[in-house]
Amino acid sequence: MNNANQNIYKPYILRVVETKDETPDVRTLRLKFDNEEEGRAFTFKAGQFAEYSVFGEGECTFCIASSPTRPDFIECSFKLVGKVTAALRDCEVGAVIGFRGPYGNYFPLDMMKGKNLLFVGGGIGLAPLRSLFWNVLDTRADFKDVSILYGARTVSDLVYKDELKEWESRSDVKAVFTVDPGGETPDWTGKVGFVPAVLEQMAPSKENTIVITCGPPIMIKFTVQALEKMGFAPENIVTTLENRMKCGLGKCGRCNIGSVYVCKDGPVFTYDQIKKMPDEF
Amino acid sequence: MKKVDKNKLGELMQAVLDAGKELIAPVRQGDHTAYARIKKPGDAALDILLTRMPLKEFFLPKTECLLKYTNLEGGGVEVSDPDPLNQERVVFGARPCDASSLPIMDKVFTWDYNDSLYLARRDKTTIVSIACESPAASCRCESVGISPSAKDGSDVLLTPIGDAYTVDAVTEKGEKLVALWGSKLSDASDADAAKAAAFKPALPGHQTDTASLRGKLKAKFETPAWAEQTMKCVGCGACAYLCPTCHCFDIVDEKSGCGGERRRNWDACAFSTFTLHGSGHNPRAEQQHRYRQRVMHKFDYYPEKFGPVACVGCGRCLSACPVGMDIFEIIEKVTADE
Repeated sequence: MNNANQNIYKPYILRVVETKDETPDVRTLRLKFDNEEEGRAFTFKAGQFAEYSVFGEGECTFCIASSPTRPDFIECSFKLVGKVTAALRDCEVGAVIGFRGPYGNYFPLDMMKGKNLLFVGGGIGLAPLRSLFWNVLDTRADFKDVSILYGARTVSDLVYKDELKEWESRSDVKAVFTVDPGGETPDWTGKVGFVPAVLEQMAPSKENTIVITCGPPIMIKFTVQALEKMGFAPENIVTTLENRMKCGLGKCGRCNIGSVYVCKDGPVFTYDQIKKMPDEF
Repeated sequence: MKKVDKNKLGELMQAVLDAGKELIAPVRQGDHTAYARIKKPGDAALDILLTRMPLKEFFLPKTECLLKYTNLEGGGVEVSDPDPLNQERVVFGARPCDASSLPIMDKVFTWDYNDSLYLARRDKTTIVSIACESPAASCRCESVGISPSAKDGSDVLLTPIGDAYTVDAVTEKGEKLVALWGSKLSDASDADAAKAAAFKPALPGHQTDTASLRGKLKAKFETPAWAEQTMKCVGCGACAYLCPTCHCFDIVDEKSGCGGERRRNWDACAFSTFTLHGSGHNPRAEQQHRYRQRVMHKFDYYPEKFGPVACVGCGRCLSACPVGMDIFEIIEKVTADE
């Protein structure tokens, strides 16, 4: 626990070192600690989140989208939806960003070792999966088969397009990409169909397999239904939840689902745990 | 145990001021009442049973600075902590229900992360409570296991015994204050102590057995009774703002010139934007869901994590609600067998 005199709301100061437009309304910022010593001491695990801020505009909650195996920088990806994300979008290289974190729990990497991993992502929900995905690829020998199914509404809504190409070309990854019907372009070579339907076509084996999924609530709902139909046990389906947060520290009182605080007990939960929560998502 | 004559309370307050401490007491403010800083004992209105505003704003202010920032030339930002609280404070004349709210909030503000701003205020403040001689019809402390002479959260408790009060130092901080008062207090006899122990005014209002009902809440999460019982809630948030234990907050930035502040402001689960996602999705889309959250948080989620219920039965929410909602009545109705 922090010292009782230490201000838990005081952020680290990071600077934007690179920006990238993933889609027309999703941008990724690559950030570095202003104070190198703080940067070296900072550690996190895939699945954790943080509060990112533009001073004078406010704070916003996103996962850390980069991998702990690449500790030289932190990346976040966000969709332009409001005041703070608009301000973050205007941050060019050199701009100062406030950063509090890492907060919350993380993906159970130790439990995943020696197993087949199947990632199922939709839209900007790929961001938290991407942190774990690169972590897995950077320690590839610890895992058996690694597959990823990722989809978005349209081709232009796919995030991390360069990385998708890289994953597709790797022989140690099975990558399937899809766009919703009507979202394809003439030169699209991936699948056309909703993620849960494409998942059923893929017919993954449930044997010794952990599924990690994140995406819009409707996608997660039907993905989990498809997985259960294929015999996956709820405890082998892992997802990460998002709820509106302010503090990230279990105090401001808004991210709870029943007695579960997404900021402290989560954001990573197994489907088994989610089934026990009251229906208030 | 010590005692003090009822007409000598002013001397005790003066001793606090003379020691250079800040004095906070119940006061009248026009048509309203509140706890406020006072400069002379005569401003205290100790006859007020329950101030309109609870004590919490002296620990979790309505609005407060979390940090200051200054934009530097060349593109940097300098961030600094708000000015620290150095002033020792004494609250004189708190009610046991208000004092009981502090240990409840302590658990939230020390849960894995210590909230230094809240804790500094707690650390610097000594609470002197006065047991309630004439509880009101809206008082519900016994519904939540507290009594008009409860000690929890108080550093010193004054209990009426005829023309005097017994002075009970509950904590180490309380002992220090009693030592400061020194000869202004006299020794209480065994008979005085027995009188104080027997002090038990009757509560005129209906008390709800929340200890046995709250166990039923979880199973009643989906009952249609929530919609029926909360239909009239207008979502104004008055109940939360007047609640001694409601602690939910928002964090916003305020710019001024070439810098500004990041501030914490009270917020309330009654508001429709409280849980609204950036996508437009809202997990608590209807007012009944938001009122259910209020009840569940106080009587199910909080006790599950921390033990006691997050309600001290002060009854402010009953008195202040513009549409006459009664949280205890609602608990009785939603947990009733269908």
